[in-house]
Amino acid sequence: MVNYAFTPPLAAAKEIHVEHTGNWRGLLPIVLVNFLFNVITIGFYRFWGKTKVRRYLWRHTVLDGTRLEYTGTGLELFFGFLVAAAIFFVVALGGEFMFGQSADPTTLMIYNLSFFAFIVLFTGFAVYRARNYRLSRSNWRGIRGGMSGSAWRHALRWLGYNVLIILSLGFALPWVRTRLQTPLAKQSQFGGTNLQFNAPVGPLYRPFLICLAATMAMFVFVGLLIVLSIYLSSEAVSAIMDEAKSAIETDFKQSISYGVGAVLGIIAVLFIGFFYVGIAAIFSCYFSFELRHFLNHTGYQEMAVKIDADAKSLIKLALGNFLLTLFTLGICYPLAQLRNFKFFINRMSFDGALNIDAILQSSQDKPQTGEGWAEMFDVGNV
Amino acid sequence: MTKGLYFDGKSARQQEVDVRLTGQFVEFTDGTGRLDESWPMTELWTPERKVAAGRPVTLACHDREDARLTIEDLTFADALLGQAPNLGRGMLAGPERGKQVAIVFALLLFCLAGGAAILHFYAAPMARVIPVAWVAPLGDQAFGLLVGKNRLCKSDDADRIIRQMAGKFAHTLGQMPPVEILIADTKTVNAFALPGGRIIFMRGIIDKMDNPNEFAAVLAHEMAHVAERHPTVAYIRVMGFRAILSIITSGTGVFENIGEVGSLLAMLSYSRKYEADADRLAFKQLAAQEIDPRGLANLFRKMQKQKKEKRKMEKRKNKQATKKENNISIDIIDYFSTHPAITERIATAEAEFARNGHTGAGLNDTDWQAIKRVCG
Repeated sequence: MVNYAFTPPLAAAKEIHVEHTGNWRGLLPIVLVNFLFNVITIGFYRFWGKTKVRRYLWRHTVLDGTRLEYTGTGLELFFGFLVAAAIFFVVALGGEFMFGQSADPTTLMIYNLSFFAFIVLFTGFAVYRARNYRLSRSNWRGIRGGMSGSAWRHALRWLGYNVLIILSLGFALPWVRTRLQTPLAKQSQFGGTNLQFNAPVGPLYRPFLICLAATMAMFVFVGLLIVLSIYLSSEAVSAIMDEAKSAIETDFKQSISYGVGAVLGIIAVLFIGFFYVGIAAIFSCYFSFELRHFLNHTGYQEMAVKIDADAKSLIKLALGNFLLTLFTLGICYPLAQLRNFKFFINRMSFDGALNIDAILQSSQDKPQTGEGWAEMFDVGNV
Repeated sequence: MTKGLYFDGKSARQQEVDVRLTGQFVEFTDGTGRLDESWPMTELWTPERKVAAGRPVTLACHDREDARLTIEDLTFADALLGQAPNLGRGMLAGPERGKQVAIVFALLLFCLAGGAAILHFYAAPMARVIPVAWVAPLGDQAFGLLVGKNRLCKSDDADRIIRQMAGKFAHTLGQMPPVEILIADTKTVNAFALPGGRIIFMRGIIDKMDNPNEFAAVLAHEMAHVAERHPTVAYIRVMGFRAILSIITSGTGVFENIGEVGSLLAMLSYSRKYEADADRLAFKQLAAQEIDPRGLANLFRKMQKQKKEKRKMEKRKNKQATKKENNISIDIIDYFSTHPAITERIATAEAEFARNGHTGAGLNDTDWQAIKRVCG
């Protein structure tokens, strides 16, 4: 029999406000100390460094006057990594020795495809497990999050949908990412309540096609630059050769052509590098649009998320983050994460009200170790 | 007494409470008698990592995992720190923190040592069970890299003579994979065995030989490498070390070279042991055919002499500071690879001769000339 006498009445649902109070001055010392310790420990400190960054980002997220907490530890990340690394090591080394050196092209092809499938499958697994770990270590008013579905089911979906991306030559990307995000979001819980998510794919195709067109334009531009450089270099070489035709010994001629070859090689590498950087920059803009779209179609209880951000501000955010990460060789990536947190959280509002008292603790067990597979495959942005 | 907010970890509902410190406990009550809790100071921790003076405090208790008590009163932190100074030094202050660091480093060392031990003890048995067909493509790749476009020298006489000698050696070695012996037309002074059973002589080393027993010693040495699957063992170890180090340092591209350097050092240090093993088996093969084991010593002496002369010339040329750095690195590599080993190996060959006294040449003069002329 339930004793109602000791249960206070539920408060009415209320409108809530969220803000991010972090700033780069607060995070930069953490980033620099992490970098220093990473150097000293040949990268081994990263589990603890990542935890410190998360703790900062979470702590400065204030929802209805209460700070979010991150309760994960570096040791949990480290243990998770050890387990994943041991399994990966055995599979990769065993596969390499049994089939990786095979002279039979069919065996080699099947092995390479299987290994690729293994990597993709476990990447999907890693994405799900990492999300579960992060949610389970996120605490607000004593309530934590979690995932209510199966990581293996998500991994299989991930594998299938990634094959579709390849078969569609990339055109299915927005559709696939929305299809993968849907169960991920719907199975995400805060307390015992799942998030709601219902994002249509259509609106994502406009920014996607614009990014694709920009990539094509850049491809043509870089291609023309390469052709032009080769043409100009070959002209210069023939001029030198013609001028000193009789005097130059064969060896010397050969060394000139080797030199020119090397210069052309460097030009080509630079242009190809520029091309890759360009693609990454363009698609970082797309992913910002996508995140806004996904957030705008997320809800919790009777509350719907709204993000007030126009295209210009999204592009500015994405390119700023991209350049910040590129020019600091990834060291200041946490500052880019901070910019993302501040941008989206400070522009976030909620349609509808939240019944805080109705949020009950999650009944799910917390995972004991964290994100090993995500660490192995370098997935998960935070 | 001060005001605080309590979250019981069962729902997100907040409850206003009166909080007071009693020396050993933090006590709080909602004033109605429904909520009346005491958290021992020794069980307290804070998700903020540490309590800072003059700032709001959030407290948790180890046996109430998700419950939280927050106190906005800025003077409370000072009072709390007065009674529980550990909370101001972080969650894992003092011996606890040291313990965690020790556990982590012990685990790291355990993983590295465990991985290294597995590779050390099991690489050789693994190399024995891996079929030759699996490692042959590796040998092909290495062959392409080392021999490249150099011509392969061939003559029926030389082939027959070398095959006969190799056959006799194989008989002494017992069970071993099939061997293919090739001579590449390049002035490089070297000979090596590749994964899959291929042995390559560079013309340069044959040019350096004055006596057939030197050729016999080198062939016996390389045959021993093939019989012991040394190239495959080395490959397993290098790949293993590289995998362990690259996994541990993954996600930090700056440190990728550490994996490379580590595996190189591992390979070089192991190669010294392989050379000693191969010499021991080579002496066994030579003894079975009553061939003079000093062939190996003579060849090494010539290489040592040539190396010294080359080094003198280099030293004369390179007096700039930057070049000195390069020499230091060459010295280090030499130390790990061959430098002390050559002197030891010459001494071992001499000792073997002193023991068995064999003076055979291994080939008659006609056969020896057929090999010397094989590249024309």
